[in-house]
Amino acid sequence: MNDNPIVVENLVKYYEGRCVLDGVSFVVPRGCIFGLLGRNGSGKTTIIRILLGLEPPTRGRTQVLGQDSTRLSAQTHGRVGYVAEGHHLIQSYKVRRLISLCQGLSLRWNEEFFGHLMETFRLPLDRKVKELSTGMRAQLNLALAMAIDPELLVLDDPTLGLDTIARRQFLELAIDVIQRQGRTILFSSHILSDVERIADRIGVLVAGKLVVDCTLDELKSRIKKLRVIFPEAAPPDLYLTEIVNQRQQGREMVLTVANWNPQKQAILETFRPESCTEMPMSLEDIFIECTRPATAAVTEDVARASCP
Amino acid sequence: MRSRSWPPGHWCRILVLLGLFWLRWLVGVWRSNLLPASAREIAVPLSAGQLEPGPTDDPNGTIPYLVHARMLPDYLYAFLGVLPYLQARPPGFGQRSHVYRWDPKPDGLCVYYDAARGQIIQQGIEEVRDEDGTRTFHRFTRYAGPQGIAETPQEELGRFMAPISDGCVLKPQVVYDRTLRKFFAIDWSERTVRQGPPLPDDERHRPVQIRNLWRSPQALDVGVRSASREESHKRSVVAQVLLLERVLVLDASGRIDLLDPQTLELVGVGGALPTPKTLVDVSRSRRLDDITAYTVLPLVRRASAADGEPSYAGLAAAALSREGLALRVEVYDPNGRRVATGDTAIPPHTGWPGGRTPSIPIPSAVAAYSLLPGAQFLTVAKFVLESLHPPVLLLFSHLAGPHLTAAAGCRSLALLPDSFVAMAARRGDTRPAERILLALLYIVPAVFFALFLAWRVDRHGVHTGLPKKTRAAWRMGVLFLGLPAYFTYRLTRPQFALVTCANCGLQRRPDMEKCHRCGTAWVVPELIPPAWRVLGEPEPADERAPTQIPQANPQA
Amino acid sequence: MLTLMRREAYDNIVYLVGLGLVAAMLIVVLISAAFEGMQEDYFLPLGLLTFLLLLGLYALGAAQMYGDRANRISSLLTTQAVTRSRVLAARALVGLLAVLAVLLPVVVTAVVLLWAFLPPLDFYRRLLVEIPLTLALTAFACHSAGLLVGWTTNRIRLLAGAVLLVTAVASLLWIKGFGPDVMAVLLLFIAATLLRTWHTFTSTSL
Repeated sequence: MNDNPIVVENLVKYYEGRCVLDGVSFVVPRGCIFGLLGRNGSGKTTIIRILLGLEPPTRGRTQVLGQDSTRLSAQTHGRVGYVAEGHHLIQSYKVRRLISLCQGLSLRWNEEFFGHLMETFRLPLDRKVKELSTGMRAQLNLALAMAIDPELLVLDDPTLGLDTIARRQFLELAIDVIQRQGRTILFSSHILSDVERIADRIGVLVAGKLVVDCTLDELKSRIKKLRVIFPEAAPPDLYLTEIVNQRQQGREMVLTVANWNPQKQAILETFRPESCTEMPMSLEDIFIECTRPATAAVTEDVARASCP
Repeated sequence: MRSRSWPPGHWCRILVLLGLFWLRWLVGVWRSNLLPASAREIAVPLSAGQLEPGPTDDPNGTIPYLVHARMLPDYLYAFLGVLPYLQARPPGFGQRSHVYRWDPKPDGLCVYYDAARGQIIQQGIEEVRDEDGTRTFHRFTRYAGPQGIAETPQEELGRFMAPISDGCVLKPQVVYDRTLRKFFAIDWSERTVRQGPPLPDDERHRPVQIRNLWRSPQALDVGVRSASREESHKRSVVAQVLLLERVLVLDASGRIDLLDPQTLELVGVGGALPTPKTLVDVSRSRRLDDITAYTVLPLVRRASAADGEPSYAGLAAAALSREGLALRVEVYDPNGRRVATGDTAIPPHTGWPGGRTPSIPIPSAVAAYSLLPGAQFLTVAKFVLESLHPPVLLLFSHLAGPHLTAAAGCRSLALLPDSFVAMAARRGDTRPAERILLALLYIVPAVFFALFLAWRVDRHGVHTGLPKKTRAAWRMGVLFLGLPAYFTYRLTRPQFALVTCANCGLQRRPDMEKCHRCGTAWVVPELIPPAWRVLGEPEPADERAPTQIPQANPQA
Repeated sequence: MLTLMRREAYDNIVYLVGLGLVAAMLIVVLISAAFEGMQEDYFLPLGLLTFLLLLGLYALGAAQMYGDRANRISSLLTTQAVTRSRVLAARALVGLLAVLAVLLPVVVTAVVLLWAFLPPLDFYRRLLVEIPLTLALTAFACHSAGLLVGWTTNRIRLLAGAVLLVTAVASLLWIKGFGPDVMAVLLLFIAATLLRTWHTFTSTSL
């Protein structure tokens, strides 16, 4: 088994002259649940499609289960379960026929597990796929992906269209998969509460770069949101690096800083703030702070950081 | 580049050459249709006296005859591959068939060559009368080899190695074996096989056809008739293919020999296939290769009260040139002396709107290339189409020109046997250096066109950052292979939406690490990522804490 | 592979049935022609039906690829234990089987008719190999051309390809006749077409 089922190195992708990914690199180790986050159009689905060989990269290298994504063998494909955003299934097929097709193409098929899933989801076998609701298509997609007992599960917004109960069932299924030794999940979702619940590592895409790639706990400990009150007007420049976001109003400044450490603490204290309170953040809060358009302070930070 | 360019390269080559072939064919058909009816047929007048000088038994002196020949309009359609293929193989009359005679009736006669046995086999049903007069029919099979005929296949009969046979209608069946270099006369009814003396093993003796001397008869209509209908009953000379006294044998050089069917020896020269008057003198190539269609009619003086059997009176031969634009008829007397000729031509003083009115007959091929209305346009169109071919193919066409047959001209995709460069190679009235110079002049436009295409390819390669070696390879490829190579490049060239380099402001490819113009590294100015990063090292699976099942979140 | 081929055949059953009908009509015309002495009147219907057959095989290939692109079938298939090469190979094999399934009955009919109406001579053994083989290669070349051109969302391009490519390939037969030389050209054409299709199909985004 590979230690790193997913390896992405310096991935660049252009669509019709527009850059979507600008040198993305990350690794998903075996047994990890990696949550890939980003705003609409940030490139999450692009990365997933490139990983699975559905899209050629412009530059860079991606590997899945030790094989180059552009040359994945049938065996490797058979070890990866994929739930696509939008749940692309053959619309004109009946459910029964689609199941038969996927079963015929699979390397291993867990009939018992699949049957259990179909019973749970209660999907009609004689209806055409295009006649199913979005949620039912999602369930079917998920069941087909899980039935092959995948070593790697790639989920692109899998709960899109699922109701609350179905979402919960999905999460439990995902955990069931991950509890089997050596299984790995890469998934992207806009429902951050789900991601927060099950992900080990988080990746966040902003402006074509992966700005966050760490465990969830590490993320929460390294990104701090501080409410600072100064005795007089807030200073225009705190001489702090890695400011994620900054808002000030009179004497009050709300500051989000990445990689908070004692040195930055010391720098802040030189301005003798009246108070400095940490505001707890959920993953959703962190995500909003990370992906919000950059303020003036951040822009200067970028200019300073880019100076040789 | 090589592995990805090979498939579309072949594709382009085949499709481009196919397209150019059909355009050339259309020009050829159009040119052929320019010829008026008067320029498509010949009537050669001759008298019986021309064929046999001296007193004749014709009390009225000479009775004029006409040897007439006419180009049939289906010429250009008739020579495309499918029809000749199918026509050459039917039993009994296909030139490539080993079945010399075949009667489709259930009890019909069949004579064919069995290559496995090396013997000629006759099968059929014959009637046998018994002693008491009753008639019975029984199926027979007879085997003929160089040494004799038997009812069963026997080694003692010998083997025919590479036989050519006549149409097997007359008795005896005359066969020539190219390996044994002898003529044989097989008399099936007498059960005998006679053989003649061996022919000298030299280039002057290469028989290719016996008795029925024709090729592609669907393109020509040849015959002999009386010049006047009222006198037709007095006709004493007729064309008779089934000649008994002499057998016509066509040699590979175009010479027509006379074979005595009794002694099986060549007893003289009967004539030769005509060389039609084409646009250029083509004496450098073999006559047989230069002729698309021919028909040879032996002439027989019909028996009169005084004579016994009809006697050989000479032959009339008609030949159609390459491209089907010129027809020539030659008539030979019994001694092989040419006594009359005729060529298709635009008659003198023939005028047409906007055209000239020549005072002398203009050969039909020349008129079709330059004088008839529309001829000059078609000649230019032909030249332009030939110039669109790859220069290297034009060069090969010139080098192979004298060796390319007329039939090949009708169905050749790559080489151009009827092109101006090939015509230059076949010219017998010029020196070798002049021929080469002429050919180069014809190839020059194609080379210029290829240079233009190569320049375009190179310019695009610079624009898209192709490596120097790759650009050089494409330039050479397009220079030699012309249009197909250019289309191949268009199909396989890198397809990218170029982006503007932030450093030099020129277009660059996004899949390259550095700008191929200014060499700077990659910068994407439209994306402004934050300066901060929160990156942690991935933990190996065995060092990670076990996954916990999440508790229900009351806020969810 | 069998699963893929079954899927291809089932999804394009209309084209296969149509080809079968054309083949049946060809057989009927051949039988009529044989009984009436192969008169020239039969050449045109035979030619037209053969062209229709070539057109039908092009349409099969084009439908296989066009339908894939329109319905994003390969984007599902390639996420199963299947590679793009296998998907394409299954399509080409189905085309090849369609060619054989259509031509074999026609050839068998022709052989039976020849046996019935001509003496049992070896002269037409070569014809029986060259003509069907050349026709089969031509038919497969048309199918391959359909596979290449079909990977598009532009219907006009599909129709133009049908007219131009099928006519061009059929005209190759008309120009060269039957035999080893035209077979060599057709084999090259098929190899080039399939390779080009493979390059395009494996490098495009699904």
